[in-house]
Amino acid sequence: MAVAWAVILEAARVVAVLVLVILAAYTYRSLFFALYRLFSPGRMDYTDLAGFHLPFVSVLVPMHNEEAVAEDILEALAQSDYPKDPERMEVIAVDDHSTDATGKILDDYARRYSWVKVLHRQGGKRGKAAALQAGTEAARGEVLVVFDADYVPGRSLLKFLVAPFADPEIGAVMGRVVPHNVGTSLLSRLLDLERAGGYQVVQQARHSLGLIPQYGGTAGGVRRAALDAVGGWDPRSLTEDTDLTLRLVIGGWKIAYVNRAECYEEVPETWEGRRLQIERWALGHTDCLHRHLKPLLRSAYLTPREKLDGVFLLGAYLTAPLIALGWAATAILFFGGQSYLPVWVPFFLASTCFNAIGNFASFFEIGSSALLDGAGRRVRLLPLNVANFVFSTVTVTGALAKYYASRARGRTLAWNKTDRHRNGNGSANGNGDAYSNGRGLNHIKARAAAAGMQRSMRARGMDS
Amino acid sequence: MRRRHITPHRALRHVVFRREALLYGAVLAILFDAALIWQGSRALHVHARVVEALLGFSGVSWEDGTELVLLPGLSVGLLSTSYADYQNYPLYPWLFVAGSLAFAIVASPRSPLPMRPLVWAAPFSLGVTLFYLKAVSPGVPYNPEDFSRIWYHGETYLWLLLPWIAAVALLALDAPLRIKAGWLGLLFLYSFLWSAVRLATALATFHYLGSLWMPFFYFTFGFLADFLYIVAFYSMAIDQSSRALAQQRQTWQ
Amino acid sequence: MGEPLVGYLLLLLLFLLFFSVSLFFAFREWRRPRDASPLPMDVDYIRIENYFGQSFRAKVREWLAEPQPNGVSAGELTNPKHRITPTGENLLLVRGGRIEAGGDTDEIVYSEGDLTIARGSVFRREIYCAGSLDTEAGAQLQSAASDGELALGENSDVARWIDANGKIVIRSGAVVRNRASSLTSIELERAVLVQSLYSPLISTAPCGTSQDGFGGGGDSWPRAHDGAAAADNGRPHYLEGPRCTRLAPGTWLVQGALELPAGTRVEENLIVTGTLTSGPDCGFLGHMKGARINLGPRNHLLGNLSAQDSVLIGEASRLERNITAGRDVRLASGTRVGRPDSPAVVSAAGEIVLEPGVAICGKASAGRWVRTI
Repeated sequence: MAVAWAVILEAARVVAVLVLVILAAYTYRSLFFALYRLFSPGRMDYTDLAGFHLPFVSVLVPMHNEEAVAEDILEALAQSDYPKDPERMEVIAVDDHSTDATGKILDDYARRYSWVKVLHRQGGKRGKAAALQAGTEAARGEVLVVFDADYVPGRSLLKFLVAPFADPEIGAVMGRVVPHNVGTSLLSRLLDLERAGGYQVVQQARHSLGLIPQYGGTAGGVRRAALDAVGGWDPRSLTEDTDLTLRLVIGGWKIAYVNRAECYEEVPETWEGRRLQIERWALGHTDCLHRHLKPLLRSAYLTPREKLDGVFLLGAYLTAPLIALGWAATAILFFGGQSYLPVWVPFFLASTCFNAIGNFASFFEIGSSALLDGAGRRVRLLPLNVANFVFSTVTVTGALAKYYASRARGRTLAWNKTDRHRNGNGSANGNGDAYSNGRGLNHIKARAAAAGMQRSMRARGMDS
Repeated sequence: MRRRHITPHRALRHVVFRREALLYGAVLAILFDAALIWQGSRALHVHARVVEALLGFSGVSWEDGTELVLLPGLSVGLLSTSYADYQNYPLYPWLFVAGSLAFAIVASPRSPLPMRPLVWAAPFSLGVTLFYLKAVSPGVPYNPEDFSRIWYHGETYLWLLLPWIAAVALLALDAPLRIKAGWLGLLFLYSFLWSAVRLATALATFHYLGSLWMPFFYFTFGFLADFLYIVAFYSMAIDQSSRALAQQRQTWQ
Repeated sequence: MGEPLVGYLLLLLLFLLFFSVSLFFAFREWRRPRDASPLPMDVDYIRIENYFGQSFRAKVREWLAEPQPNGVSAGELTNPKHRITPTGENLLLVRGGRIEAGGDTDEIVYSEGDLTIARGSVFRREIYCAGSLDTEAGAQLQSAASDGELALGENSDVARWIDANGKIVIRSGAVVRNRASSLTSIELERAVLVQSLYSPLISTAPCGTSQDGFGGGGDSWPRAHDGAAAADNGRPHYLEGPRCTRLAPGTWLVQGALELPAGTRVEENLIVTGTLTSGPDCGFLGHMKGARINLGPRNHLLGNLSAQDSVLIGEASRLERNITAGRDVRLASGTRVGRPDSPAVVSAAGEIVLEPGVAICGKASAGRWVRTI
């Protein structure tokens, strides 16, 4: 018994030190990114090229039961200032096994606009990657820009997104995602902070440092030639964005991040919706870790710094079970009377409790993004992020347990759709007429205008 | 139409880096650490007196314990208190575990999803400790004086680190001195007092409710609570700095 | 209950009070939000290269159309005349002519006709000239918009932008600290500093006619040696030596530096991780990228050019598309960038140096300065 206990203690010590080192590395990385972004002018961002490099763009919008939001994105694309001539732009909306009025809405837009094409998929593998594959096969563009159905691109977004493709080494481009449904719940406000830290600081720092910004699978573009060179979309992947990011950089391409290319998204407003979202991300991301870690480390195209960044990227979701393991190890050491090592280990464990899980931003990154965005009071919510952290840790740990169990049984994983919240609860309205959605894009614009007016009044001291 | 200055778009801007600001922060951090090591014993003496007063207020008797040397020249006299003896109150541990479990069962379904793990933290921690007490050893490895020793170690390391956290997070910014100095001062004051209150509460809890609560206290109200207030103060300072910097032309490029 | 227990309970209360301080401000912001709106969203934003000039003109016209408190309407201009704008600023209305030297004007100026600003004058607000605007040497301006032509005198200093519908001439030693934009053309003399320029034609003195050097396309390739014939392994001859891989059909990645001899013709995209150097009379059909790029004289590029560091373009080279550099760009004499029907950008995070006789159709934008020598 004593021997067993001694072995357990020793193992706990090793685990605790390992966790300490890994978390310290992630903490240092977060700090470095935040400071670099805050104080450095950054690398060339291709913004000047917007409007001057106009390749043929195919905009792919995969949709599965998206009647609540389909019109919004198509209207937004119709208002885009990208030239609509047939050799410059086409929109391919993929109706993927929809059972609602999505197909009907898309057909109507295809009749109205010659540059809109619709693909109806009723057979074949389901899921976003398969839908994108089908859309890609139909696309003629040199650059493929992908939007999720619930995103609202600004009028000039396409020009900003495609500008970096003037650089022949760029395989994919990612824009900044800004939540537009902030304020609907505490979760949406916390996620707004998280997105700000993740994009304004982390992605931009990675771009400026010549590391690996992540292509996010939406509000981003990919070079058709690069996509073909690395084998196209992978329908097996739950996170085709992370998967593609890794395959591109391993294959010698670069990813650019364009902070100026802002696209507006709807973040989950309920914790259940959030759970589904991060579960999928955790599963897909870890799956990518298993498939791409060795090729990443062996790639002849990447510098040691890029490889290190890639490892951090791939291991991001493992920090959750690692933190849980660290707490367990610390507890064992505590009960084992090892009183001093626990001083350091929980120190770092505690510091991560407002910190990065997966790709989410640490509190320091969020604070830095608040400074850069000129966002004031919202940053006061940071302490409540402990709820987000605990929730994410538990969810990711559970998801990874499920993942490894599935692997052991040789099963594949299903894709969970994130709930939509516009036009009520995301389902068809009462009379089934999906065309009566008058709240979407115009509502977002009105909200933006109202927020701007409120900000202006506050600045002039006119609000009570 | 006219603005006094045009700040670049948020996507394209960065804060002008002033080497002297970072230097100033580093110098301040070094000075503070030096002051803490040089005069820290006095501060820790005050800390211990506050803990004594709170213990006295709550009816917990204490004795002078050993002298803990944290660093050369930095030491504190520990306080020796006692645990509630579970041999005299054999039902206590079971009551606490059952009570917290019952609370979790009732509260969990009514709690928002992210709060549920936290609701279960207490019964889980108490349950694990109870298992240890029954299956491994009748007592936890530390007496209250040992707990204080661990506490002072942790807090001292944190206080030595805090000026550096502030140097990097706050002092490098071009924010007005009143914001930086103000929040830093408040942070240290709060940290000091809160540390004393936590330690006193922990020792008093062990005295009345027994050693079952020691791991729970350590893990929940130790460094986690420290970082909670660090993040809170940081967020307040950043909020004010953000508004101040937005008005300053020389901040942005 | 014993007193000590009461004391303990009060201690617990104190504990909770201190604990709640950590969460108080977050809680308050949650329950009584003061900042719960999305970040400012510019869904309708489109980039307008001469935005400052356009928006300023629109604003002034709006002010001119508004009735004044004393009932004087926009049509009744006397020289000079003042108006108060809705934002409380002074608007000085003049018919045109010459504003005498030594003045220090703190008003927004609107001129109905051609305007000359005398030597050494200081204007701390914007100027809108419905005719042509001419500043003499040493003038200091905030910003200026002209519906006609605009000439900036020697050693003038513009704190922000200038914009004209007609031609802009920026004379020696003048500085424009933000954007200079014209719907017609911009001519730059020596030792001029501008942060960015936008015009269908930007040229440095001496410049010929506006269309010089922009004719033709790939059919006017310089006489080339046979640089494009592929070797047996599919690699072009100019890639025989270096370590390279084909990233995609039409795109080569070269590890290390690459030197292309005179007259090489490159038909594919080329990415060089080191320095790309080319001799005279090379031709490039695709897009190019290098860590640094040094192009020889009379090179011709049909694609985009990108460099992580600096770009040096040799004399009389023609680049049909965009140039981006992580550091500096230098365009030697006689270089042409872009085409009148297809404007291009020269963009550098550092400096853009323009030698005499350079012409750009489109935009030149530098992190520091566009400088003429």
